[in-house]
Amino acid sequence: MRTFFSNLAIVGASLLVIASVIFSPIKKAEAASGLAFGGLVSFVTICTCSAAEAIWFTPLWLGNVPVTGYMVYQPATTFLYPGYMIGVPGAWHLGTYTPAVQACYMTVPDACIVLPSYGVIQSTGTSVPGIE
Amino acid sequence: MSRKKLLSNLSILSIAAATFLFVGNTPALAQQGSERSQFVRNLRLGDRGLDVKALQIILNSDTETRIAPSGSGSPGQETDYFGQLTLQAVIRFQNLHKKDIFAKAGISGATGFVGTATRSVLEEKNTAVSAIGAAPVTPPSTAPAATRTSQTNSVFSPLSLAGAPRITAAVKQKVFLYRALPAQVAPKGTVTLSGSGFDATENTVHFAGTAIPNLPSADGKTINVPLPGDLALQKHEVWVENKNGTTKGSPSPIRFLVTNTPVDPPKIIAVNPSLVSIHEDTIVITGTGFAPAGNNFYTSLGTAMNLSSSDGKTISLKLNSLSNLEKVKNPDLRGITISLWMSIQNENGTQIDPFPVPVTL
Repeated sequence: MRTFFSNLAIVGASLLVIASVIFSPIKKAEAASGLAFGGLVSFVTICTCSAAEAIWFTPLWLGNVPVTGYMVYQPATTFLYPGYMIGVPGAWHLGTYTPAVQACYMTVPDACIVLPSYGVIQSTGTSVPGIE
Repeated sequence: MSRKKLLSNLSILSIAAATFLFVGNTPALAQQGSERSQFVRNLRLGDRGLDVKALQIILNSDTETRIAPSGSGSPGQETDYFGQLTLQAVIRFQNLHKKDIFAKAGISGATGFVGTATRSVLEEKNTAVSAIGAAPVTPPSTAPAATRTSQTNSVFSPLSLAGAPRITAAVKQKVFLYRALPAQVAPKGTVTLSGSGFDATENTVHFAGTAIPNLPSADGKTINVPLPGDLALQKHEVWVENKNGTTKGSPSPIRFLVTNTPVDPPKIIAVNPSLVSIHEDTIVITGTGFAPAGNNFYTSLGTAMNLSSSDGKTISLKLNSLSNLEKVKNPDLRGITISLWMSIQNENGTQIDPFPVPVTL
């Protein structure tokens, strides 16, 4: 139970930070360059056709209501901050993303199909899972 | 809460806060950073991490530096472990790029150690590899993506997959091919190739030992290929070559079938129930072109393979057969509806644009 409340505290405090960034005048001016997101990694799917990884977050915070779904980690366009645990299940991520960009393609026989996501991660910092 | 735990949580929070304050207030640096590599450390035998996996993906993008032809480490099965196979692949990579690596690193032979010089060359290659497949679609609304009401408010609903994807990544483009449509075509028909990095006027398309040069691409994303009348009635692998490179040897080969009796690929039309609970046992998928057996479903939450259809129009799918379904169940998200994206593939071809199935958590 303590773990639950401590995690809740982390999420709450983190969201305050997110909100302060999102709703600051500076951030509004930069809206075109990326939107804020935060979430907990559930699992990762390799984009076998497009050299990327789709990371599923549960929950995923894009606004004031938690959702769940994929964000795509694209090695050359995603900038990493400490602790470099991108895509590791159990790691919290906070960062920015480019919405409406589909960058994950999966190999099927004779073709590739798109795996829809919220967008491509621009930059992210992560927690280190397992720290107690 | 113990002092140790409090400190660890505070450290997590401080990282998060620092990240956001940094990203939020230094756009120029953030933008600059987005064009840098993820290789923030040197890599060597025995290392683990997603950067190792990214390294393997880059090495696998070239047949000459492929980690392994099959099994662990092969394309699509990259791991986070830097083992002997990765070491040998790095050595091959270093030998291929000895002019750029050896002098800079002060070495006379490949070592398999991924240091600054090797990372620098990897970054260039990484940039090219990552240019593929960046396909923006209709921008989604920035309104809250889901609600707790009974109204269907899909996670992915703002996204439209209509139209050909386009590439916007502001990085060097490598030629990339991801489909040939129609997947089945009559002799003398036309196949449209989709991808990115196509040249405006000079693309050479290869198939069946034939090379058709100087094919144009008005948008850089599609090429129309007129087929000769004497093509063998069979599947043909196709690849594109131009000044940006070649798709030959891609780990995801693209093929089309030449036949006198082409059929349409399978297509999902509807799902029953129309609003699926994540606790549902079975859903019934309705559509066209379903095969008696060997229907494979590729979804956001995993695959369901080799399903049968007795009438060619319906298929029953057990939700819990999707390997990642359990991982998205979360009591805090109860009542939210997401889209479970689903494509079907069988002997008739593949449904290229996935079908969204609304699923309530």
